[in-house]
Amino acid sequence: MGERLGFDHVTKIFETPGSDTGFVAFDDITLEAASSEFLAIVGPSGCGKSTLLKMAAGLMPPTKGKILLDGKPIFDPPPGVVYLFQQYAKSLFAWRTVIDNVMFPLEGAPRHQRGDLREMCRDYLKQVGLDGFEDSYPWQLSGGMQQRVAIARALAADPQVLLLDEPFSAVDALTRMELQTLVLQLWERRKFTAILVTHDVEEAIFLADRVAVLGAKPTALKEIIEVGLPRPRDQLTTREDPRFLKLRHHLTSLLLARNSGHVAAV
Amino acid sequence: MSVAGTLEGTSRKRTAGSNRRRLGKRVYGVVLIAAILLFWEVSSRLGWIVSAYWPPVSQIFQAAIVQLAGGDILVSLAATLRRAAIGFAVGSTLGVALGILLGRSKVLRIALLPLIEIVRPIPTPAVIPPLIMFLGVDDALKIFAISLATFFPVFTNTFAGVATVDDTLIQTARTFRTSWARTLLRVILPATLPAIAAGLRTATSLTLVVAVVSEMIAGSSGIGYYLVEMQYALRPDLMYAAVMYLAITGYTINRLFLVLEARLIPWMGKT
Amino acid sequence: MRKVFLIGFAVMGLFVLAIQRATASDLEKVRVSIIPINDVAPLFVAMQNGYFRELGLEIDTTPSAGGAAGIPGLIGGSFDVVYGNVVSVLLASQQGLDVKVIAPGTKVDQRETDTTPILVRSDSGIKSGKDLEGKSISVNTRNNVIWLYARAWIKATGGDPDKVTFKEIPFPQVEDALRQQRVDASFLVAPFSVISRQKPGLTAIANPYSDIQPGVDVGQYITTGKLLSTKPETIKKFAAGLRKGAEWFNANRTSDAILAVISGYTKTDASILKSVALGAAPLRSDLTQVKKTMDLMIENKLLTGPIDLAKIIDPMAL
Ligand SMILES: Nc1ncnc2c1ncn2[C@@H]1O[C@H](COP(=O)(O)OP(=O)(O)OP(=O)(O)O)[C@@H](O)[C@H]1O
Ligand SMILES: [Mg+2]
Repeated sequence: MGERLGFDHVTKIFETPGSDTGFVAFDDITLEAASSEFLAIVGPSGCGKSTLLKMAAGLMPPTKGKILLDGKPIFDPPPGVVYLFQQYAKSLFAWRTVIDNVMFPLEGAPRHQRGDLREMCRDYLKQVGLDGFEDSYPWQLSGGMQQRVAIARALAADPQVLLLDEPFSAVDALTRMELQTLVLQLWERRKFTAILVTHDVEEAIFLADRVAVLGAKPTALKEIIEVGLPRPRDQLTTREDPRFLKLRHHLTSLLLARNSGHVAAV
Repeated sequence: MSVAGTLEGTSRKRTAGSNRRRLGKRVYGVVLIAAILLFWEVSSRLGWIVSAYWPPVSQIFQAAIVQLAGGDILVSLAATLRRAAIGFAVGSTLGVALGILLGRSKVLRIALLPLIEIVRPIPTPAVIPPLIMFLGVDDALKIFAISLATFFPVFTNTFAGVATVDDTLIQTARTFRTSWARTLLRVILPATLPAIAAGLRTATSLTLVVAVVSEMIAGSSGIGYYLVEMQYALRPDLMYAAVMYLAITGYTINRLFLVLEARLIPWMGKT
Repeated sequence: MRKVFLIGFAVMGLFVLAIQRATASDLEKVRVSIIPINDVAPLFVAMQNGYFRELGLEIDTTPSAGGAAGIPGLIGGSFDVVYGNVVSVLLASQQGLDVKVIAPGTKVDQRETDTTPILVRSDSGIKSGKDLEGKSISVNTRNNVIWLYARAWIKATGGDPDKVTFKEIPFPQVEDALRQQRVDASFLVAPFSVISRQKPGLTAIANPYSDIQPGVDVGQYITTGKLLSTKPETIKKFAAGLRKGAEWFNANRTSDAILAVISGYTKTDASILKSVALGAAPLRSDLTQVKKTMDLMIENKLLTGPIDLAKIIDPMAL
């Protein structure tokens, strides 16, 4: 079962040279993803989504407030929380083959278990549709395939909480839908807690149980929306569901209002 | 030359067409070298240049071939290469290790970088005479000098390489809770390898130069000493033969290095 | 990656081993730094005739082409004895280094065997130090014995040494430099001084050692005061063996046997060596000669003041 992950009155201020106050990325955010929940966070570019997620991963400390994992504050990357990078291509090790990339999180294990773990990694690669590419190098694969390697590697770390930072923003529309379906299947099977950051409203609705909307600067939590669409979800039928369209309308107008100030444009 | 030729042949697979084109281009190079050698031969035979140190090329080749059957040149070359290899190994190991450690540790950087920066601009041959007081005139001195000469390009390239390692890679290691030491060894080191290889390649030629120069200054064996010895013994044919073997050695090492680089760092330039 | 590190450590191990030297002999080893020139022939004669072995010594010679490594190596402990020239010894002593002369090495006392001339192009018209003013002369190294006597000769023949440009050119390259007019005069040693005159165009105009200071003690064997007090017997045996070699050398210096010895360590063809006259090897150092050299050094500002020669030249050399 996935663990609860919460932001408790979190503020992040970046120190900037030449300014005493610094740059306030966001102020006083309180938000929690329940155990095994799929939570999406949407917001305009530059509003601090990646920053929020990196703090959740323990890669960056908040300036004020706490990050709570099952109620306990975290400092460094805690066990079971895995961050899937927005720049997935850069997060793969070019000098390792695909299978060795996936093995990376498991290399601390005792030597005698390595054989079994390797088999497990092969299985993860099969689950993400990459069997036959075990011995290729990442730079020999397409963008979509590279992202699958990154996903398989995240799975290998056996995450209780998976943090996905715009994982599909750099692939074409068709690949994007395939990968969305893949992540949903994996989530349903493994029941980890998932927090997805995106600025694609449809993606957020299609995948998540709840969608948190961040406003533009100074960034604060604007609204949290229950999706309530039935599962399992389907790329065709779910997206045609009238409730899906209604949610999309609502969220889009919310984001546009933040940006331009006139809703009428929709 | 033939050794280098075969290496070249196995290093890359080429189509027949590009092969022929390469061959065509190569002919010009060979013709130029042949013309220079011919000019040398004639200028010496006809006495255009009056000097005890301008023997005909044919005499040099003859001396070089006679040496193959067993002579001081190959023994001297072996002595030089042994020192160069040890110095190279020591210098490059330290260069890589310190380059990575200083690249990642601010404390070490503050402690050691000023010292390294002060020593770096000193030309290695200049430190040989004063070092004789501390290290004697034997292997310790020469290997130290060679290590020093090897160290700097390797260190500098490694250090700069570490700085350009993408932060995403390091954060990836962190999110998988990889220890500091393992991150250095398994992420930073391999990510820096292309830069390290560039440093090592610069170092190889420098290594050979410093090995020879140190033997010239404080030598009693090795090809550097042999060169000076033959100069004083009025044997320019053997002196140039030694230079020729040295050139072939340098060329071969460089080719070998390129082949190894392509084999061992296939991801070079691809991210 | 682990392999790389293992190899690294193995290599460092080798490095340490390479520095250590194995000594497996009953004979006491004496490490001698030499310059591979005719002057050290008595030492090699003594080695080949077994004089040192009879005294329980094994001589391990280390040639140093320029001689630059000699005294630093002696002070650093790489050598027990070093063949060096008189100027280097006095300079080292002035710097506070603990050097002691234990035997004479080279002496120039007969004009017929003085093979160290000043050469000029035959058509240059240069005959004296006066003629050299505004021109250039080559020496192998500045501030050494060659430089010193070149200056002394220029002054003695009416020139001002400060008006002559001194260029550093290694001996083997001097002939080419002279013929290609890159320098106007050169103070040169054997065998180069002999070889370069075998083709026409170059002329010897002087022999500075014989002209300025006949009998000058040019070369010495030196050790450190520390070694002299810790291993006095060894050093005495060395000097004794060397003297025996010098006596044999003096008795045979016109024979072909000596050519084989010299050719063996200089790698120079016996045919070339045959054309070079060999001077007699000195058996004793001459304090008055060393003092004359010292005075010249003071005059040319190589030394700031006189040195107590009795402290540098051990009685065993006299
Ligand atoms: N290390 C840093 N130092 C200073 N400012 C930073 C730093 N990292 C991020 N910021 C600033 O914080 C803000 C939020 O950055 P962040 O990368 O979290 O945005 P984002 O919402 O993920 O944007 P995008 O949708 O484009 O990925 C930006 O204005 C950025 O300039
Ligand atoms: Mg972002």
